[in-house]
Amino acid sequence: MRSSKIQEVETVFHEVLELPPEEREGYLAQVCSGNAALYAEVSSLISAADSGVSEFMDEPAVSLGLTIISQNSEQSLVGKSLAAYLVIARLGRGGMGEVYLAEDTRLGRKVALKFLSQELLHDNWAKRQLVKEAQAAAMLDHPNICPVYGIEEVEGHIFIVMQYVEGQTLQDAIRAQSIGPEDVVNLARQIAGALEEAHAHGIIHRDIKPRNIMVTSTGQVKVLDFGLAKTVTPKLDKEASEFSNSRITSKGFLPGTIAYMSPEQLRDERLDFRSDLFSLGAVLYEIMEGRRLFARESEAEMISAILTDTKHTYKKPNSKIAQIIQKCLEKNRDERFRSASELLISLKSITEVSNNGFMFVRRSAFWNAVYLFAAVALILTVVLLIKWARKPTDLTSVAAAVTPDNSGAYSLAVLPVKSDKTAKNSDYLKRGLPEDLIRRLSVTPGLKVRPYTSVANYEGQAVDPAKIVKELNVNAVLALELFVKDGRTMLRSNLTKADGSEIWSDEEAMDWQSILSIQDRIVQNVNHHLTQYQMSDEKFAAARGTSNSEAYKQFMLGRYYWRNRDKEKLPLAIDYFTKAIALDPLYAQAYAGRADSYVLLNLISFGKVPTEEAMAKARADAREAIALDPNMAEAHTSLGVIYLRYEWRWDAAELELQKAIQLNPDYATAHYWYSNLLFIMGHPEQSLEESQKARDLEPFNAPTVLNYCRILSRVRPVEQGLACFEKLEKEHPESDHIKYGYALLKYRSNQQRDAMAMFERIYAKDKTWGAALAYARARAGNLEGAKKVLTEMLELSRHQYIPPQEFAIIYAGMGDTDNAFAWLEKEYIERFGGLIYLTVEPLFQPLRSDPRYYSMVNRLNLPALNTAY
Amino acid sequence: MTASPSSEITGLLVDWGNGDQAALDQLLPLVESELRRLAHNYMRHENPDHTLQTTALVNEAYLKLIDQKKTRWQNRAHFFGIAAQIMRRILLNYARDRHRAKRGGKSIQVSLSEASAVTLEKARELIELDEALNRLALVDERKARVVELRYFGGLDVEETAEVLRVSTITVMRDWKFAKAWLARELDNAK
Repeated sequence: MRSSKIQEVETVFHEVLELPPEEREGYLAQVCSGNAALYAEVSSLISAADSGVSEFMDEPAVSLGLTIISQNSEQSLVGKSLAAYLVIARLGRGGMGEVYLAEDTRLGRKVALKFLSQELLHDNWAKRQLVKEAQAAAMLDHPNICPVYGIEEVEGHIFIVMQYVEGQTLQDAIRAQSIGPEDVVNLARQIAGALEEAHAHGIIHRDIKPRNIMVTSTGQVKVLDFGLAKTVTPKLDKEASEFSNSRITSKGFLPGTIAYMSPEQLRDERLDFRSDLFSLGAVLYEIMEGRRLFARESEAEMISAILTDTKHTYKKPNSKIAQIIQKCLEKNRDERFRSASELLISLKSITEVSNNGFMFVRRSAFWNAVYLFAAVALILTVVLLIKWARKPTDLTSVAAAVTPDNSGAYSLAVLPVKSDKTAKNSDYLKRGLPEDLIRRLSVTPGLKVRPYTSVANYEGQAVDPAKIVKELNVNAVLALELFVKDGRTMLRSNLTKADGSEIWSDEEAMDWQSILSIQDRIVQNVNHHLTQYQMSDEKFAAARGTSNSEAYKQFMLGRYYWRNRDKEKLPLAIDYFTKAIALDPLYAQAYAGRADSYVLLNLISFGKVPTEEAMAKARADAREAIALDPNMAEAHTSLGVIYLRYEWRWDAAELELQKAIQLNPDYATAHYWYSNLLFIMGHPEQSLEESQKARDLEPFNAPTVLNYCRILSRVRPVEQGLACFEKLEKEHPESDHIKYGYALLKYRSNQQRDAMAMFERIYAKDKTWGAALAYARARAGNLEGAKKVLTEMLELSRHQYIPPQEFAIIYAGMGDTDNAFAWLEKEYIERFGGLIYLTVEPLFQPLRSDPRYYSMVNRLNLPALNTAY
Repeated sequence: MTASPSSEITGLLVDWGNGDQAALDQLLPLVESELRRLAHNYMRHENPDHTLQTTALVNEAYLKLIDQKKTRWQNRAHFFGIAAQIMRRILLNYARDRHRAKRGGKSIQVSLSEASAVTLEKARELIELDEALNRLALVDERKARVVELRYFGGLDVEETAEVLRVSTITVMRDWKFAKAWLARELDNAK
């Protein structure tokens, strides 16, 4: 039917329909006389319209659609064909994934598919986790490990393809009493065999529990779900001590089921293979005794039982297997079997193996792989409990040696090291030593130690402690001095109280071997004299960071080069931190230091390592540091910066930075980045507040103050910003960075002439700083002048990294939006970091009317240009 | 404190409005997942007896997904059009899955009984209606669009008119005709 015809049909149709029913037939016949086709067409439509059409399509299908959507959306996978897999049924679901039974139509066999759950579909972290799980399991080849066939990505679904194991979970089998004590040795051997294989590949399962162990009808064990598995084998590349990392806690899932967790896992300590042996012990106990070992009324009691309960009753306490299980269940991992292999040897020595095999009552068609979804509340419980358990009980009555402030705390400042030029290593120690003492003393209850940054300006000055006590308004100061006596480097420590009188002093010979013990003595003495606080040995050791003096030395060097970083020194810092980690793999500060270095690598040593690689390493290190010491503000900050600058995960960044600030409100770097995040997200007042906090903590640190001036100039009247810059420029006349910011502000506040002159001067010194000049020239109509800068900078960029956004700014100024966006795209791909200021950087203004700008804003997930500025 | 995770949609909608067809391909899955999420939350938090106010929901989706300040009025129309298309696709996929699952033979034992919003009968009807609608589109594309917007998108006459930029009278006439046409097609199919 052609459209002219349908029009005719339609016209007649409506004409007829408007008539009373009795007149229709006659009218239709009249209109269609000689056109039988038209008559038939309209007539059939009219009768269709008349007969029962009243309700047809009256209820929009959209309500049906929404009902479908709102029901278990995973239902929609059933019946779906994904590549060669026809999804047949859902087998189970949990926090991270959903497992389906499917048919591999090419091979005609059943398989199990593990998908990410709906809400994690767009979560890249979860995706990587799934890939890691597949990779971990794919490394393994063992009859007792469920084999992984592959990982597929089809139509936006990513899933692991694995063997479909017909049988039942150990949990169901225990419940159904289809297995019992007589099977325990056989099962233990199989599971231990699976663990031996995993461990041999450097994989800790971390979630051994009856639900993750399938038993087939023939009694064969298949260990499943390496979703929480963690690879611990050092990579064989140059950085032998780097561990790949896959912590789950940061995501809000509790790794593993609490009931089978090892004590060290509950305490969130670094795990090794022996953690799996503990979990296996708990599983074997359950098979043996028919009840869950750590079953308690509440999670809290369960945790407490795992951590402390040692009295496990056995029906046959003297049996060999009971003793083996008991050994697996030792709280102290050093007292467990050293490895799965050792456990296997013990198991093999048992001769009384029942060979009657397995007679499963039930053959469950579907195994029920249900994953634990740990609610946040649960995690909180655990965290709180652990915190509570760790809380020192020896809170002391406070000494009267010094007067506390209103809150009852004593304040102390540790001064920069005064040093004789001839003293060995004084460069490394000058700042590192007081910083470490501050860190170690900060954990003393009732003692408030000023951050190093607040005393940094005393560096290199001859100072009178008595005067500083007053200047800094503290109760006491600890002064340190390095000097040479009889050819030996000595450290003099001196604790002075507010009235100027000396409380304690000491002098010791100092070298790398003794440095840790000297620090120990200083910490003990300060604590003793100020608060009479006796730190427990454990806490004391923990606050030390490392007990390996060589590792400490490497760490000090790393930090020294980090602090004085430039293109050459930053990679050196990484080398030193790496050495420190190699010497002490549990050295949290070293991981944090290396994370901090990697974070800045792309900014400072462009091109040394691709941004992506550096950030991946930074992330791994920061997570490792947090795993080792969850209370380290530095590591949380590093992670926050990665989320902020590289991953553009604003919420995640905020959480980490807030966490860092909560852990150490004196850590200026956290405030610094948080102020940036708040600014980008359109919270000017809070941003200013944070930048101010950072400035107050580090009043002598140029970048910190610059950050404050910048934000101030955007949030408050421009005069305030100008005054801030003016003062800062005077204090740091050598800094181009400050000049550039100052000039940009002048440019925006109708002092274009001044600004231009400053741009010219800066550019003449360093050609990487030409973007603003070219921009300003172009906007003033001097296109030739702008092009000249552009050409020179492009030429320069052949030898030296210049962030793409610099060119985007120039093109924006020239009105060449196509090229501007091309460079922004480049920046987007490189994720250099500056792109996060897209919506707040005034120089991008000319681009803001272009649809491509919105596209980029949206891809970055940024709020639209904020009218707040 | 952060922007809506789907603010990308606004940009794509603008791009699409500016004639960038590729933006539509990116837009569809995004709106779909947001709609799914919204509907999901909606059902979870509302009283289960509560009847879904469908246009209200699409409207809410629109308000949530689209930054009003950044878009022109046409975007709302575009968005509704897209939502209708998505609904149609979701429904049809579901109906087909439902059908396929039933036909799948003995190896497939689907436990759909727990949650079958769509009866088998309804599933077949939907599939047939969809096919008929495709045929109608060949005859008169606008009428097919009217049906899509009204039936699958839940839009009322005025909203449909806004999306298609025609008068409400035209929409009403199209709707009446299309309904008769489709009813006849479905009847013939039986």
